[in-house]
Amino acid sequence: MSSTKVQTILKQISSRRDTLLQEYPNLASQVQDIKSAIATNLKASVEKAVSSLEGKGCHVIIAQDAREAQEQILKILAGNQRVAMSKNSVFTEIALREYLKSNKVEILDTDLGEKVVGTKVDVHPWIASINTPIPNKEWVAQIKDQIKQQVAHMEYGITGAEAIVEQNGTLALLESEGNIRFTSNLPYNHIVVAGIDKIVPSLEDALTICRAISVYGMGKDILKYLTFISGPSRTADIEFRMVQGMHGPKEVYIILLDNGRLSASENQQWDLLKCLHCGGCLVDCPKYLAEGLERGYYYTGKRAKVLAAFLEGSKQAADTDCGDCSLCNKICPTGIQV
Amino acid sequence: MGTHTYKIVKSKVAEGLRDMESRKGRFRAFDAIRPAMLKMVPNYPELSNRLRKIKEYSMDHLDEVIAKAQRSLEAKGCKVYLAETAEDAQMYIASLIPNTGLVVKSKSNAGKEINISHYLEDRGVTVVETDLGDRINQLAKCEASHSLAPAIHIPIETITELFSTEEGTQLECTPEALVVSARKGLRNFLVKADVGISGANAIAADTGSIFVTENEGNIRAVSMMPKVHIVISGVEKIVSTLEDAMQVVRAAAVYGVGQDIGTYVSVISGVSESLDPDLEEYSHGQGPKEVHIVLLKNGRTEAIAAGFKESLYCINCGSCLNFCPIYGEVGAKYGYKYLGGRGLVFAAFHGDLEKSEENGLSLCIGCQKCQTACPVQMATPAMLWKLRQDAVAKEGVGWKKDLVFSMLTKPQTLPVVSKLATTFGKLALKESGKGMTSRLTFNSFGLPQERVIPRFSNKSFMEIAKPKTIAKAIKNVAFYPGCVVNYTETDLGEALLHVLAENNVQVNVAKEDVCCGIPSIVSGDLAHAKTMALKNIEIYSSFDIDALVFVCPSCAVAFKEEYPKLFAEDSSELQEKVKKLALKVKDINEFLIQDIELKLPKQVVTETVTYHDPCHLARSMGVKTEPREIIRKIPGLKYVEMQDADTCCGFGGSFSLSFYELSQRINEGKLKNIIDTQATTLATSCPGCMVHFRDGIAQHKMKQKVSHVVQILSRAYGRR
Repeated sequence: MSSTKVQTILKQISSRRDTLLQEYPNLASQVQDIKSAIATNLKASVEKAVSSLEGKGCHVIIAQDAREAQEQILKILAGNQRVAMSKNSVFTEIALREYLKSNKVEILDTDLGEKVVGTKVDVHPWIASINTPIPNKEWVAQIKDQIKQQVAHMEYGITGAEAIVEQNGTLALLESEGNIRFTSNLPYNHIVVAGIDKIVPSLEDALTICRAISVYGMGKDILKYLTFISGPSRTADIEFRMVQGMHGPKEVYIILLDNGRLSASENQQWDLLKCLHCGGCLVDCPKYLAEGLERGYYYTGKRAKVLAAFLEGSKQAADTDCGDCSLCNKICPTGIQV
Repeated sequence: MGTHTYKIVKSKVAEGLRDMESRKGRFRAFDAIRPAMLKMVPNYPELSNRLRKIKEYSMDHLDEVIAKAQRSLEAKGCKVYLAETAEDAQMYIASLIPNTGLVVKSKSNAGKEINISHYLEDRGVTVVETDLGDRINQLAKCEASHSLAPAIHIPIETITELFSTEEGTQLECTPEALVVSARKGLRNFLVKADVGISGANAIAADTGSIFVTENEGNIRAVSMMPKVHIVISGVEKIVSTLEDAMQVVRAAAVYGVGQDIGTYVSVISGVSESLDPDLEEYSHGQGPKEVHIVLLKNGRTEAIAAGFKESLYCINCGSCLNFCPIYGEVGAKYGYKYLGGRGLVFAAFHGDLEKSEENGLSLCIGCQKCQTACPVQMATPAMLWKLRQDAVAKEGVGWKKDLVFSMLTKPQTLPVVSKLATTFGKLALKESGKGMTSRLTFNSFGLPQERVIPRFSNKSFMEIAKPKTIAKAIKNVAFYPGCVVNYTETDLGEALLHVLAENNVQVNVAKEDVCCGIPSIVSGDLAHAKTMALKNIEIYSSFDIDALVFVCPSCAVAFKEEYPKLFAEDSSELQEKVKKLALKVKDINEFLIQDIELKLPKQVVTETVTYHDPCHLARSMGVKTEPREIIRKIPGLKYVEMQDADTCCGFGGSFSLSFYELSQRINEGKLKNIIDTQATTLATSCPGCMVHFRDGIAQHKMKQKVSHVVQILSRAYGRR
């Protein structure tokens, strides 16, 4: 039953993707240029991005590892025990939910899939409930309305980001559901966690990355919502004096996560820095249905080497023998070969 | 323009000029935005041309891009309504909103165009503006005064009172406290609202994506909180691709406020969805359940057909307003729904030339600052001139201008008038310490008593001009003096002859003088303009010359740009002749620097000089460095650059007669900049600007001498 659902979803993605790729023949090469440029020059890019983000009025924190990221976030929460949180693979990487819960912080999961099936196993970067039948649909509709209402009165929202623009200090947030929009806009404080590999040179590059994730991962030309955020909400409508926090966050915190990425760059392990977590490789992977769904998508065939490279506590993921179909190599937008 | 319309415009101008509180607000915005914009634009050198191409393509293929956008939007789950008229749009939108419903609204120019807030309120709907500035205006019952800072004219004390009443407690009078209060109050409305209404900065036809950009986050809230989201957008917002749309929002930030990108750019592609089909079946994600796109045509197709395609390239960034001297002084009274000159173009193709005239069609001074500030390089002044032609065709140019223009078509009439003026005029005019002022008040001619008008010379320049014969001339040129030199600034003509003789250039001067026609062209009176142009073309084509030089850039522009346009439909023979002559046109600064090796002046000139760029010279002809180069070659002279040297002096030819007070007000800003330089001499390159500055300097009891660059150079060559 459950494998039927996931198979249906993957099949749909696959067929839509095949059609779309004919429309975007150059997309992969564009993405590869962007990612290569950053991967090979990561340190300089981080410096520029930090200065641009700060120029936009964001608080930027570089976390060396998962532990530091966790601690910094807890510090930002400053004793506040409720936080709204969207879905992002980086939260799995730094085991953020577990950490916050162990520190008595209550998390409101705003992603409907995660809210419904929980966050114990990260089965897919975009669709938390890909492997789980939804038994009570009325209940879903009901809790959906509650989520937004609750977030409207919360102080902290945590999200990831699909791209960070080095030139402008702009964050790109991509989604289909709409929860990331309100998680990042309604509370007074917005905390963003993103690996430093998410940095791209320009706004146009960020758009390309988001398009590639949509096309390769989901078989959509662009997911429903793409939001570019450059610093805190502001207004100058009263006597042209700048005040922060009009409708959106007053403070924006960016946790830039190193967690082994800079040394990967120095050691020329470029492939580790190119993954978009679009999920495209999962679509055709025969092993995903067996292993990925059980343990989480990070552990999927040879891919595990790339996906789990920075994963908290799992740095030596087993080099699973997954045969030689190489389908994942063919379809990867960033050209990662495993 | 009829007398009635003129009175309406005059009273709007007077009202605008009186409202100093609004002016203070506007200039506070200008002072922040202008330098930021000028600094930011060079970072994106490709942006303007790229954007213009994007918009041009859309307008050239409007039906096609509308159809494509409609298909894509519908494929994404949006409902699209193509509204032919404002009434269509209003009725459709009202049908989507429950009676006595609550609407939260963000800024939408198209919404303002169709007056949607008032329309809905009349039907019992509560409409809450969520942009802080708009909300302040809504509570204060005011209209927006600036496109990006709409409540910039309202002082903080008033806002404190309004918000205190709204919240029911006395608030602290600080922007921070007021923002907290506004956020809280508006959040409650956002949570409860039935419908959110927004505009769109761009719509990508390929993916069916709506782009909205902002700094506050209210558009995000309006488009995510209520169950229904309605987007009202003119069809001109549609561009081909997602990447194109990105350029639009970037340009809006770079040009509109001097930001590299707006704080928020939201790209909304349809109705929210869950990627899990099980969830999708029941919940459709967490955004609005319905997204309606109202695409507004409302006269736009007609505008394209009538030749006003460019007005639809506009991205509403407001950059033109930040640099417009008329908007700066008159404010929101200039324009119709959309502020400023572009609003008047819009008014006209909403079927109402009268509206356009009443709201200031005659006010554009033609400085073209808007065009250089515009990310799509929209030629607003040219479009307004074209509308004036339509108005003249409909109603005539008005008897006063008609009389003057028909006199100007005939050679030697001005000399007669000027002789009459010098002889009999002394009855009406008097010599005062400042120069010539009027004994009587001729306000309707723009001649209030205090105005210092130039002295008419006893003999015209053409009567007294004796160009030297140069034995071994390096170049042979003709000189077109223009009316001001001919009848009042004869010394400038003499200075030019002197300078060119010093440089071994042979000068030819015509025997007949005919006005270049530019006053008629900008007033929309092409019949008279053509008569004048034809005579000039005959006269100056008969010379065998290397160049036709000018000291008046407005006359030069007439020959160079306007004549080819005037005769674009005529015989190819005539067109050829016009083109040939146009190619010979040179401003004197341009000629001295580019065409010859300028003889270095020896005479020490101990003056501190600053330079004012005439609009036609700096922007139509692109001559900015040459005059400065000449000034700097003069020994002993100290040159100081003034701030905003290339903003208009406020003269505008007949503009200063029709709107003298406004013309003076614009001049005052320049005078302040001149004082700051401590210059003893104001140099410029246009006799019109000179006349206007002399008046302004006299009115403000200043001492600066006003000279054309050529006059200073002539002094440095030893002429007394």
